[in-house]
Amino acid sequence: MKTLPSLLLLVLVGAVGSTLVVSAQQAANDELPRRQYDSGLSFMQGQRYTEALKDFQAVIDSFPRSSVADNALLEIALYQLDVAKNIDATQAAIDKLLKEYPETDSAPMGYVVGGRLAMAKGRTPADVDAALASFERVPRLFPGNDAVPAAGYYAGETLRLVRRTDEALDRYRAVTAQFPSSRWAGQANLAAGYCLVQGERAGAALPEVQRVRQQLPGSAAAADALNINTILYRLYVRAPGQPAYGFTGRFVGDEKSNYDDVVGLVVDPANRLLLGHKNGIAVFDPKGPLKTTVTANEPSAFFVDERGRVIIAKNEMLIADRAESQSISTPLAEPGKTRLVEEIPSVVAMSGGQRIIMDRKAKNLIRVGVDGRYSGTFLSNINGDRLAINTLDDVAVIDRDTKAITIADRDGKLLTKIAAKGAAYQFDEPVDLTFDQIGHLYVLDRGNASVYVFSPKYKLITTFTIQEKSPGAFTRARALTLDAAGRMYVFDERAKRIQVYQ
Amino acid sequence: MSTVLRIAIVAATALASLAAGPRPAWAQADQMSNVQTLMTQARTSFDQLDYEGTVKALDTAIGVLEARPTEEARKLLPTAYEMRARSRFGLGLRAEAQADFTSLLNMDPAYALTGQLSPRIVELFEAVLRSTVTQLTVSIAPPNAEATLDGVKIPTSGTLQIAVGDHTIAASRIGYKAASISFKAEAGVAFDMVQPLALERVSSVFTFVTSPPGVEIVIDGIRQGVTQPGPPPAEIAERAARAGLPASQLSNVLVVPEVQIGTHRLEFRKDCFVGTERRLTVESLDDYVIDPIRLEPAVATIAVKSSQPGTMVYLDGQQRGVAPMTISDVCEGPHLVELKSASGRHISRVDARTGQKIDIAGALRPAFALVSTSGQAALNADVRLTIERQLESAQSVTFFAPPADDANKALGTEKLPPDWLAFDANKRALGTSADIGAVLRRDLSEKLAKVFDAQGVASVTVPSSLNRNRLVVAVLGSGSGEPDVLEISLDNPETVNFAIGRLDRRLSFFRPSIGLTAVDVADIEGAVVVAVDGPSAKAGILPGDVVMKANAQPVIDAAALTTLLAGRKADEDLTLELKDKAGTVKRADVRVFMTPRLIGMNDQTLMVNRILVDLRARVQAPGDPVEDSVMRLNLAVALARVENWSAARLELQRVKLPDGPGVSNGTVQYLLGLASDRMGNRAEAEAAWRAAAASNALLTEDGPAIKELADARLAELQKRPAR
Repeated sequence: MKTLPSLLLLVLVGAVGSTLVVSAQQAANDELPRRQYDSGLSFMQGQRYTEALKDFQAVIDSFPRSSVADNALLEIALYQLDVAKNIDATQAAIDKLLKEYPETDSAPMGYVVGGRLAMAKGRTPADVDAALASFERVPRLFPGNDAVPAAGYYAGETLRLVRRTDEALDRYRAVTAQFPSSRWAGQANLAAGYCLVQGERAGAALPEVQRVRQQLPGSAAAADALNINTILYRLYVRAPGQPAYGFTGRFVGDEKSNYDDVVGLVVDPANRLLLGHKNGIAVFDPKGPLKTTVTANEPSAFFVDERGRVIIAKNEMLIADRAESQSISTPLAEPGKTRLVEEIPSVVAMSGGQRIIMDRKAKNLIRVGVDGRYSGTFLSNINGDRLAINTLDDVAVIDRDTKAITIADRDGKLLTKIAAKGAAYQFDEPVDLTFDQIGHLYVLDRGNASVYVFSPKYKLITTFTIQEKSPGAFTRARALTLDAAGRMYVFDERAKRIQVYQ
Repeated sequence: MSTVLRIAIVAATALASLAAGPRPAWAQADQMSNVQTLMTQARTSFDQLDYEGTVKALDTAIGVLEARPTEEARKLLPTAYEMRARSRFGLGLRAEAQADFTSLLNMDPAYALTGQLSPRIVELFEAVLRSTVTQLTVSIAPPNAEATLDGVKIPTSGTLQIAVGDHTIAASRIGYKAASISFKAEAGVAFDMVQPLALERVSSVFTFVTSPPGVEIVIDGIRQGVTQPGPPPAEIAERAARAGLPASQLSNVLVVPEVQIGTHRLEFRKDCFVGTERRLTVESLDDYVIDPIRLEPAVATIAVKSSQPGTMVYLDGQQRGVAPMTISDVCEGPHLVELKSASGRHISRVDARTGQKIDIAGALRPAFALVSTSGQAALNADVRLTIERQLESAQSVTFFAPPADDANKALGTEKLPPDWLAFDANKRALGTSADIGAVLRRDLSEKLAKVFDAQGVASVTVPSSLNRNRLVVAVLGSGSGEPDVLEISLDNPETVNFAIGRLDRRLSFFRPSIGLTAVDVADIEGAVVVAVDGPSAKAGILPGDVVMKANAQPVIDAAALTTLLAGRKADEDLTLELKDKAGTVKRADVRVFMTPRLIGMNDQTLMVNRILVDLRARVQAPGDPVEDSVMRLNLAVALARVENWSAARLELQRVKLPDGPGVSNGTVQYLLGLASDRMGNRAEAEAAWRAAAASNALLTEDGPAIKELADARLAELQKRPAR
């Protein structure tokens, strides 16, 4: 009785010991590929993509049977999809991952990336079906895997992007119900809030979004939640009983700087405020002081591209801040002949990298690739001025002739028009417009010295006006933009500065 | 019937038995019975001077006895020979009488005639005696050797009557080399062993007695035997008594032969006693009687307390009583102490030391019996024991590994292979497990849990032979058809901690509330109110108000308000300082109330089987009716999650919650509708969903709205064809 358990213990210790030896050998064999993989991750985080790719590829080529080869392949796929936006390269990496490493930890996320890739290719019913099928494979094949909530979230995203909002909401809710403490639940809460707002249920969106702040405090998602709820509070709780905005008394820019012929105002992803004017692009840091100026003589428009660069439109050119330029032209009816797009009053970049350019002379909106090559007409017969684009890649354009706002989807299909005159409003001189991150459209009317805010279904929610001669009044407004929290920035030619409202 | 006829029948029977050849023991006993009858009849005939009858009976009897040379036959034959010799002599058959006397004396050379005898008979007998018997003088050393003459035991010295003829004297004794001598005895010549038969000493002999009996004796590492219960021989008992050991506590002797000259290590062992050892030097070959060996008890005391009344205490699987209790006779060594109740178990594996007092304060927790292992586990390791040890610090549940034989037997009874509950970390069923559906698993979990008096069962799977340190534990509450899985890497303690963290994740089933929903807004310090009901609405708080202080403590954001509320109890008053949309400061007094919480119907991050057994334990102790109802409601959701809808429905029918916002009666009705629908009761489901659709309840404290869910179910029900 005394000896048996002791013997058992010895056997147990011996057996565990032998397993640990085997495991230690595995760990030793894995050490170099693991270090190279970690190196790749460090480069990737530092946005040194070329070096990161070298490391990942070395792991795959030299250590194909290591425990991190599948992870390296997944990282390459993510890079090609999210950064390079290279569909073919993404497809190649995913195919290899799912074929050669089907039972690894990366395989489930491989299916997720595969689904996202299908949506990056297009938004046809076939693309959507392919994407949803890929996402649905994850819970079927790997029911307890961490990729399951990611697949659920991206299935919701797929449906949201094709405006199947109610179905998307169900998918997001499934994620939050099934995996409430995962980071994907935070993303799903935010997206569910978006869907509720699209369905004119902003009141329900507020607690839904707030939940992210409870579940994931301190996270990027929590910061997004604060911004979204700030917008919702302003538009649906504070207004209509109180003005949605108030002037903060804060200005950005020096009134002596002569910011003339303003062509646009943008908040970039780094929360910097960019003002385009006749001498270039003035870049202000988030607190207001001028940080730098991108010099350009009389630009007609500008935008910030997917790599965070300021791209300036001048004459027929799109010029990057490091003297990289593209000449924009459109084909003529005669084969092989082209025409330069001589006047570009506005440009926006879509999520896939394509640019939508207003061709004023031809009264067309055209689509060009990242390389500047013409890829088609987006919208015809419109004397457009400023453009705005939302998270679905819907494009809104001010029609100078009719003073109406035209909204088209990412394929250039007309979605709706906001007439110049509607219930409780009449545009006088709309000069700029922008979307917030949950789909509200803000129209700056210089003539009425007002900003009109429309819901995602393009119904007027509120109008913001400051009485002339009151602080913050914008009687000669030229440009409008919002930051992530919906704070409003208006450049007024009388004030000669950017005025801040919240 | 005449005597002769009776003898004839008995004799015929006896002879028939004899003719039939070798017989089993019972048949031989029957033969001896017949011989006894014949002997009695012969004696009667002899006393009546019926010599013919006597001879006839004895012919048969002697025939049988000579054919069966048993001890009993040896006792009967001399008398039979004597009686037949005298009868034959009486019938004038002198030569036959002489032959009988010869046979008699060959068998028993010391035989003396008895009773009244005619001188002629005596003369014949003595004549036969003189020609048949002579004397033997025996001398064997050592005198306590065992001596035999022709296989019959004889004393080692003295004079014996022996038959004339060839004989062999043999002698033996442990510690000596056996020896023998053969000789021929002649009539009228006495045989005297002039040279004694001296045995050669070849080894020493140890003789042991122990107190108590049952002591294992080991000499020089070789086990020699275990002492048996006494009493020992008197001389040893007296010797022990002088050493203060009563004979009643002594063992019988254990004799160890073949001990050679030299120094020897003697070890004495017995479970539950302090072992001892001695060294003994044998300088010459001899018999050694070792002083009585006394072992002192080696026991510890275990004092057991329990967190629950009526808890049964088991020591090494044996029921010992009800806690609190003290077990004072716990043998030194490893022991398994188990405390069991209907709702949980506590296990302690202790290593008791002599004189130690071990206190066990058993906190009973729902227990999972680790019943099976599958996959390529590390060689010879029972990974169930490994998992038991790895998860022993879990505070909410207990995992225990029943003896492997018991586990195998239980699986065998259900005809289950080891992989009946094998899952990988992705919760994919492996092997046979893939063929077992939720319904069958539900029944099996209930049966197996009952076998082991546990609240659930679990299995350990090694999903990959490439990494045998990676284990997956599948957990099933009793009556559960859907397992939870835990992944543990034995070479990564963090995975163990993570698993324990999942198991011990605390759930609260009530939350303090003031009926106010608040959010954070950039550029506004405080909690911005976006919805109100209950006490907050009554206190005049409106959406758009900003809570700036609560009980004079600053509220910088919604999280601060939540934290502040979390520490409140029901009916506590709270004074809020707010600013309305226009910026006017106002105050509101609100009273805290507790709002029920419900676990997520689909929350995959919950260890729902753990929650199931935990809630079952909780509802067994009745408390506040509302609290009981909320526990039962959560229990119903847990049951539904593990596909036990019938049990879920029963629990829901016992829940009594008021109507209202949040988790309330509408929630109960909605879930009841789900359970009824699953049970195939469409009418009951529809009624329940209609009641739910009329409520403003939520499925959980965070939503979604029951009305939306119930409306969707009703719409789906309308589309479904009625059966």
